[in-house]
Amino acid sequence: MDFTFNEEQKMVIDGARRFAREKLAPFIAELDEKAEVNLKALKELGKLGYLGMTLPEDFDGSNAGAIAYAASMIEFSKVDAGTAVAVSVQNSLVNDAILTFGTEAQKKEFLPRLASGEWIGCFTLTEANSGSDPGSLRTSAIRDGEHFVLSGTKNFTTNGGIADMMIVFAQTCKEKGAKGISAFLVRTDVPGFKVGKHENKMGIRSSSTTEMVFENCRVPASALLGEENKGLKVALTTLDGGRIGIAAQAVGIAEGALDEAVRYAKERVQFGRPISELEGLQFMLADMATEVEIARTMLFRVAWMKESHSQKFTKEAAMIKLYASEMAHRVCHKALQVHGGYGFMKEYKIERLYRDQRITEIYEGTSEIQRCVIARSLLGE
Amino acid sequence: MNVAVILQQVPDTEAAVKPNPAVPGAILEEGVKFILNPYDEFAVEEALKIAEKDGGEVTGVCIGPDRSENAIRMAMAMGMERAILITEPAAVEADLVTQGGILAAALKTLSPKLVLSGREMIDSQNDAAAAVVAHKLGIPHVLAASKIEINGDKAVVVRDIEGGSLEIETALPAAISCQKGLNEPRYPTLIAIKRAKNKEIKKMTLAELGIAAAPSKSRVTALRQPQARAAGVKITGTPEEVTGKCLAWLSGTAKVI
Ligand SMILES: Cc1cc2nc3c(=O)[nH]c(=O)nc-3n(C[C@H](O)[C@H](O)[C@H](O)COP(=O)(O)OP(=O)(O)OC[C@H]3O[C@@H](n4cnc5c(N)ncnc54)[C@H](O)[C@@H]3O)c2cc1C
Ligand SMILES: Cc1cc2nc3c(=O)[nH]c(=O)nc-3n(C[C@H](O)[C@H](O)[C@H](O)COP(=O)(O)OP(=O)(O)OC[C@H]3O[C@@H](n4cnc5c(N)ncnc54)[C@H](O)[C@@H]3O)c2cc1C
Repeated sequence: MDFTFNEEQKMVIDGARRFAREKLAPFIAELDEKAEVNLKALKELGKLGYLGMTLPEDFDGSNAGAIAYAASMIEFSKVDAGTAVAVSVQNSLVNDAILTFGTEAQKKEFLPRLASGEWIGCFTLTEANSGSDPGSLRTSAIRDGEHFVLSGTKNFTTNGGIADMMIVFAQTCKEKGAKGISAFLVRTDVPGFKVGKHENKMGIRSSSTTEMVFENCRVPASALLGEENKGLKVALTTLDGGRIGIAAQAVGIAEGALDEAVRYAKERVQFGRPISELEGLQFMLADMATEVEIARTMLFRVAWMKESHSQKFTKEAAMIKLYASEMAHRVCHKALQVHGGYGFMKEYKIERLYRDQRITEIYEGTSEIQRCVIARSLLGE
Repeated sequence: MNVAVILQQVPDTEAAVKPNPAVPGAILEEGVKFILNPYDEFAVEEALKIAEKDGGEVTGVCIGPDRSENAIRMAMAMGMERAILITEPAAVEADLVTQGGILAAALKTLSPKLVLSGREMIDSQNDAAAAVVAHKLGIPHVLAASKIEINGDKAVVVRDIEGGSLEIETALPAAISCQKGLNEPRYPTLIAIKRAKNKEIKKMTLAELGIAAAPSKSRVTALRQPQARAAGVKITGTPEEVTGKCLAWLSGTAKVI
């Protein structure tokens, strides 16, 4: 077993760390306050290859692999978890879905533009009445000759406000319920589509989350991604990979929180000495570091499973998404505690990390849904 | 125009460096991350910009242990095409003048129109490479460029000085060291990182460079960390008491009055 990064991976990760320090860190406090996206940074990440990390070079991807991708996600998330989730959606939800389920023509049309960041993509599955239960979604796509007509409203779509294209899930056969859902590749400039409400969020405020509104939006049948009525499989398979991205985001946020706690504990003096010399605090820091390390190790194992195509990783991806996000919750909670009253103030980074962490337990499947996935796999259903 | 860059690997600025008790002048390398000398990044960037204008090539020259390869790969990921690396201990441990001679011999095999280096190494603060190389090659040297403009067989170089700047015109070839602010070094693209793996690093021995021995006339004999500052003395009491105790301490303990 070899747990080290190779030289190429190290350079990719160093690049991500440097980018986060120079191009994300200076802006994040203001973007968080104003709930604005760092689109400039996102476009630059595209030029550098960070938006096509798991795509082959044939499609202008940088083919850096899932391990380097997860490690880069950690670096971005430590500093700006909102920009990080945009990177994650592009790589794991949009690119991977097209690479796995797209036709040659679709791959040629979409992948090079997504890999370079010319286009930003989004993945829109959730609706007001369909979250954990995507099979119950109501947006419809009704066939009309060589076209489908989409109607309905999606919500909570990451990158919604900045997207050039989207993967939309809609009912193509109402009678079949969950087995009548299809996925479509749609440009955001098509008539009949508009971006709806922009959400005012608790955390990851530097990411765009919006409603996506379809009113008799006509798309050609060639926009189908994967087979007709097999859309739920497209969604669920894609989310397996996506969970690696979100787990990495959680690990990054936790690492960031731990760094802040360690630094603060060494500086803060109470009772005549740095609080880092108090055993009660040391034990807290030790527990935090241990949990972060465990999550990191498992994360890279799952990323390796994806990268090496050695086996199915549905269960493991659910496990690490579940563990990393709940671990990040505990770590951020303790890191804020170490800061005392200062951790409650917006001047301190931990205040943002604490808020940013929360979403990792919810999107791309809540913790409860991850437990359902794990249990189903365990019990052989 | 072909440009050569002198490269060095140094400990990361964030690394906590400690002297190696067993080897005078050396640091304990375990757990220390090494990077391309940050000033050398300015040199590489400038070299690439100059070479890209007319399809020239950038080559690196480096004296250092095997691990220096990582710094070279970083420059290659930025766009440098090839490099010469000299890892022989006799060269690695030589003094600056001797190393300058070795670098000059390596550069001669490339006959570049321009030699660039970083302004200084961030670890030892050595800043002699470009100057010694220029001397050994018999070409002009300009220190700490904050702007370089190539004009045919000449270069116009700007150097910032206290309260102003100097503009220096030099014939080419020349050896110029590069200051912060000269440019903004590019981030390597992930594809370029991949390509860098397969670029050629030619290891050369002193014998191959026609250098018989590399005797040094100076050497680093010790590396010390600054002494930890002693804790201050706290004097309390009424103003009269404090003044008295203060005077007593200044004349008695500190012996400054
Ligand atoms: C900031 C943000 C960004 C998002 N980005 C996207 C995106 O890009 N694309 C997209 O399609 N969606 C996105 N989502 C939606 C997200 O995936 C859903 O919010 C999530 O799946 C949960 O669905 P819900 O909010 O409807 O909650 P519900 O499904 O209503 O869940 C409510 C509670 O019930 C629990 N629960 C539900 N079912 C079960 C069960 N069977 N067993 C046990 N407990 C259960 C849940 O765990 C949760 O605690 C985003 C959401 C947010 C907040
Ligand atoms: C919104 C808000 C309102 C407030 N209102 C008031 C108010 O009205 N009046 C007022 O006087 N104050 C007020 N405070 C201050 C509040 O009581 C302090 O923030 C709190 O007592 C903690 O002190 P501190 O922030 O300096 O943290 P610190 O004392 O620096 O503590 C930092 C960390 O070290 C830990 N720690 C410290 N000492 C030990 C020890 N001996 N053993 C183990 N762990 C230790 C703490 O538990 C904490 O985790 C307020 C604070 C906030 C945030």
